[in-house]
Amino acid sequence: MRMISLLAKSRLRHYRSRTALTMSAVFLASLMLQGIFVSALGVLDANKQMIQEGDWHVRLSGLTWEQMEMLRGHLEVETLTFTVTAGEVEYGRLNGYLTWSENVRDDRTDSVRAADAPDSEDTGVSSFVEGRLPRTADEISGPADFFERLGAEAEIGAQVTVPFRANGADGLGRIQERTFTICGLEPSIDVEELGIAETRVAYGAEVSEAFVREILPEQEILYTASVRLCGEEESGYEEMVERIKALAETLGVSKDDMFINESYLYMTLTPPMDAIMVVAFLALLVVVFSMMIIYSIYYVNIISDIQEIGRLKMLGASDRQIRVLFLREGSFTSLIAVPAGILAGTLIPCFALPSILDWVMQYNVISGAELDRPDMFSAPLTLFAAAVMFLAVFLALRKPVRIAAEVSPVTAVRFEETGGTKKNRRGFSQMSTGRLCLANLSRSRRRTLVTLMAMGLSFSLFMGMAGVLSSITPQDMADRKLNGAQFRIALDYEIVDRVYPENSLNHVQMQRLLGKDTVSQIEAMDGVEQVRKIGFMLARVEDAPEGNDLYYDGDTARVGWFRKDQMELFGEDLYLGDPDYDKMAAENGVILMGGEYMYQRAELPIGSTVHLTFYDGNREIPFTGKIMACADYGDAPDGQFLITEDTFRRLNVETDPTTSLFVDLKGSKLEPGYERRYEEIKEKLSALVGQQERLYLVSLDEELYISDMSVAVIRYPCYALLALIVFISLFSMINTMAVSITARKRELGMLQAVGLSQRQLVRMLSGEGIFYAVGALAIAFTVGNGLGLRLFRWAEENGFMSVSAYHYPFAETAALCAVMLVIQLVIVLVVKKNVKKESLTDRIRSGE
Amino acid sequence: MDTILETKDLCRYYGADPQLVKAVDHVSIRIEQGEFVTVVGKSGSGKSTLLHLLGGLDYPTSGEILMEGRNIAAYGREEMAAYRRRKIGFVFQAYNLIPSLNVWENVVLPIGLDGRKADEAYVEEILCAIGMEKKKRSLPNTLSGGQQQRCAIARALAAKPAIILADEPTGNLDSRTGDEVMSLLKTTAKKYGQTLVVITHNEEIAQTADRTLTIEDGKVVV
Repeated sequence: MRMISLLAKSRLRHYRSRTALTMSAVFLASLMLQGIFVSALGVLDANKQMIQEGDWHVRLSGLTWEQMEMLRGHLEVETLTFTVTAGEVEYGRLNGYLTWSENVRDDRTDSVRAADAPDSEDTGVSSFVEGRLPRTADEISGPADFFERLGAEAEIGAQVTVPFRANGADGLGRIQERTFTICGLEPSIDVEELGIAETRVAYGAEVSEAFVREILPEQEILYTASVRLCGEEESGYEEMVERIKALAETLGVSKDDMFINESYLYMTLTPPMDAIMVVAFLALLVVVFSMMIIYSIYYVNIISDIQEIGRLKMLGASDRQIRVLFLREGSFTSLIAVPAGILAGTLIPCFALPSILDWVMQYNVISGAELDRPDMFSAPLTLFAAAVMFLAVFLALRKPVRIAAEVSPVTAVRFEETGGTKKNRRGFSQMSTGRLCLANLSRSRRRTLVTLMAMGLSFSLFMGMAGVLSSITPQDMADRKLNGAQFRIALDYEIVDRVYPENSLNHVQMQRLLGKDTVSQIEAMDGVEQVRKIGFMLARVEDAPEGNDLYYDGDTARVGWFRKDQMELFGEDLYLGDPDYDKMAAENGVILMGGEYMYQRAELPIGSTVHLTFYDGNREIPFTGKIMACADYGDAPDGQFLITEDTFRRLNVETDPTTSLFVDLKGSKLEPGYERRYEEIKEKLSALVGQQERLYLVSLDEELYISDMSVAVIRYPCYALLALIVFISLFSMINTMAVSITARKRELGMLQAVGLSQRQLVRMLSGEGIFYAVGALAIAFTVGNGLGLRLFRWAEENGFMSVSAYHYPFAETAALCAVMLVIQLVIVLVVKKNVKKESLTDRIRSGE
Repeated sequence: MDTILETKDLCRYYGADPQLVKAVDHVSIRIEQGEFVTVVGKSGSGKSTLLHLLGGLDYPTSGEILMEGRNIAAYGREEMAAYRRRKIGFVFQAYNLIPSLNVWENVVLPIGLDGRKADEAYVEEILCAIGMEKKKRSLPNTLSGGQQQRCAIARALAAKPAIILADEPTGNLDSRTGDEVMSLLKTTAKKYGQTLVVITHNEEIAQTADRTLTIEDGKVVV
């Protein structure tokens, strides 16, 4: 067997380019597989970090001091931190809170604590750039830009006046002001760099216990406790949830005040099945495609080696030795290519992923959290990836090796590749270069088919995925939020505000801020095409089920309306009933929204009567309607109940129900001057909105910027993977072409001897390349695009990345065609070089 | 008789001093229209190189090859390919048929490569003449050596070339088949008025030729 190993090595060296090609294919496949595993581990770990706002198990809110004391001494509790949201900042559009947090108890060992939550925000220990937490009533700490936006100097010792509303047991209190001394500075959130409006940022500033006790009486201080129970490691998900519920019950905390950190528990205590499924699917895809391509490469190579195999057999090599020879070659190739691929597949994501995640995290404005370097390496998974790749190479080799071993020496030596046992060929009565090319392709139909299918299927996968990926567009996501408009002006309101009723929607609607005046002001702006309105009213649902969580405050619902021409918007979203507009208009028909969930809980079956009382400013309008259908939320207008526009008119409401205005601009963005016009209008709208504290502006460019990031995170890794699959499949074609040229060296010389010119030779060989390219592209554009449509429908139905419109992947189609074109040009160049390298007489003699 | 092919001081050298190999060295010969010439010589004497030069498969180091008065040594690659298609019919020892094409396709191939339509009746006639009319659709690997060589002769004749160059056409065949093939080659060449140049080791074949050229160390000695 030593001889066989020597022979295998010398063959690998002799067929250097072919060895390099096979090795590259195995290397890339290993890289992809390990890359998927490593990236998945990294993303899962990062998700874990992002999702877990801490490693607490349950957050209990609305706790009194007594309940806190019970918790403090409870045997089940491992860690306990609390936060009191003492007040909400009331300063223009600034979104901020005053909180007092404290780490009460932590029974974990230091090492566990450090490993579990090195920077946990919930321990009450903020990450300071400078300074410390407040100790006295007039001290405050927070992000520097929070203080700057309040008009203060962001430095330790500076004074800042904060207008706020104390957060008592009965909701927000009256606005009051307090001047604090800044004692700690946290990192700023760079709004300009993110390119988003300031109003989207929520600031949290820390105050002291003394301050909280000053502004709130003892009985009104409501604690929100974040609790971690003992023995997480020994418990399953279900068990933990049961223990949490039991704890809440002991304390007398209602279900509404208990928030179980399900995402953390789920992540920690159950295997992440969805993620495992996705990773397993991708890994399987890579393995199957790699096997197919490695198989096609080996198959083609072994066919071209048949004569050599025959010679070996004539010299006495047994079937087993031939099998071992090829398996050794495969092993030697894999022994280098698999570990190299695994190493590259570990290193590339290890370096690239943290940067990508950092880039993603800078947009995570609300949490402002920073990620630690995700844990990405798993030795068992790495070994598994390597084992899978070795197995894949072995399986891909099995059939070609069997063919090689079974071939009889006489057949092998005489072997001329003509299509197996065929004796005759119908043929053509006249010959041309094209026909010569066809004759060559059909001489080994199986080889041609294997190559074509390997390429065609991987191209189909590319086009299929591209169909979905190209349909995930920032434009669509932004359009969905902006209803296809360029700007949205929306009301800033609370659904119900007990202390300041003027904040409640029905009161804000009384001001008619988005009424005719505003609309005509916007319509008068140069470049505005139209202004569209949407809105809803609030209504009290009489006889709402006791203790339900369906409506605001248990009984206040959003009621919207629709026009006759909007009936089709319900489409497939209808869950029950078949509403008719005219009938609904005549009989005060109501569509209950929210699908099955709402239908099961609202106690309003089809045909039942619903009593609503509309809040029209200070007026109340009673309404009795009949439930005629139930539908899921989809493209229909907003509202938990929908009535017809005719019914709505009959209510004769006095307030303006509009909650948002959508502003469409004239012309297309491709027109010259569009951008300038857009900016001008944005400026005017900002000025308009600036006059009214209760309005805010959302613009398309801002939305696009945000959507762009979420799309990029999904799209680019997928394309990188697909590009690699396509790349590997090209190896299959290059190998087939290379074998086709080298194995027919004498034959090509012969053709030249009988008059085939060099131009004709190049044309003939590139014709074979074109056949593979066109064939693979044809498969890709039929099977692949069909797959793309199906995947798109699946994504649409499952709400994946808000895809709503199918976009044909033109850019990807062009890219694939361009790649094929480049490959063709390379083939022509290589063929020309190859032809020139050896003299015609040498080629004719080579087989003799 | 008219001279169809003539070489003047034809040289083909390989390598450089001190390993310079003079495969063809100052060869000046004339071949007349319709003549049957055999070239004999020991292995490595330069017979095949001379044949390759005459057939436009290789370029000389110096000297001229005049085909109907035109120096083909000055032709470019494309012109040379056209020359081979139109003027030369090759018959090799190893048959050199295209394995993926059937007998008929192999025969009409040079005509197709020249962008012309094959004269089907003429091809049929040749196939009849060489006794291959029933094997038109057979693939080369299903034919015996003699049948393959007959097919190669048909291919050489089909384009109606001016000269047929045969490089040991019976070298791979047993003596009876070899005789058959040789006689077929001679009779068909005669029938279609073609000049025949044959390289051979076979004394008998050489004796039936109109003229025999002997090569030694790249030089024509007789």
